Amino acid sequence: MDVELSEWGRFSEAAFLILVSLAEGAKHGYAMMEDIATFAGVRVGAGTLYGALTRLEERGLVEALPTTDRRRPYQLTSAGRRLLHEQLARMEARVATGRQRLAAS
Amino acid sequence: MNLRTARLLLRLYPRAWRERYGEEFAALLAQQPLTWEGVLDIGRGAFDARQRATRRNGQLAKPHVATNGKRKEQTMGRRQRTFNCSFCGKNQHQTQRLIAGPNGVYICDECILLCYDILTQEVHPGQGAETGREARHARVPWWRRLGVRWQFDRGAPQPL
Repeated sequence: MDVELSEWGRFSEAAFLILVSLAEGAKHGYAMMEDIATFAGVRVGAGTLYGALTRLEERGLVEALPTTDRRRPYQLTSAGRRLLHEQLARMEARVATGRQRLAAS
Repeated sequence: MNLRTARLLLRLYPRAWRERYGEEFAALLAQQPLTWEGVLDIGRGAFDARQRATRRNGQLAKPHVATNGKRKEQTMGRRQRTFNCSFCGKNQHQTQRLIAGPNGVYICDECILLCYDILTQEVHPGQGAETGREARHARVPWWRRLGVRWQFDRGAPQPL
């Protein structure tokens, strides 16, 4: 994948959280914010959320669904699903290394 | 916050962004309390959107609306793209010609002529008629050397 989430600065964490949130199913902005607050324990601001969301959409990692009741749900694309898979694998490797070293020291 | 406040905050974002995301974003804001952190966050988001719009030169991705097997729904309608001169910011409707360069760079006819003026002007302050130009052009005032065409500048060379 040529998309490097970590290059998105302030939006990289939000982008990752959005991908995880949408892995559960399509959501509109408010549902994403609530879901992220629940599973990650962080509140993402609306400006940051949409900054990340627009970037994800431009890269084809998420796609918009038709608007219902003024709110527009988004869903993961297959490319987005692949990227999330890669990101999680990378993070798992780092977590494993960290834990090993902590346990050994 | 109420929808009216949400729409006010939305105006911080550039027009193209508002056309694409405005409705859903305003709806999202209206569902939240108005806080200073929230306003700051929106301000930062708007700043970021403006920076990206400048780089992207007025274009915005068309919504990738999923079809789910049905006919593609045109929810936003077709938006006309605007391109902006990288020098003065005017778009193709505000200038006569807009010429495209590489990597999303554009230049308009007015700025090309202004550059031509700058390149052909001889900036020799203190010299009299020896430069070959009319006396009043011999000493170039500091504000003309900035390369900006001022409305009050009667002595500036006329465009071709």
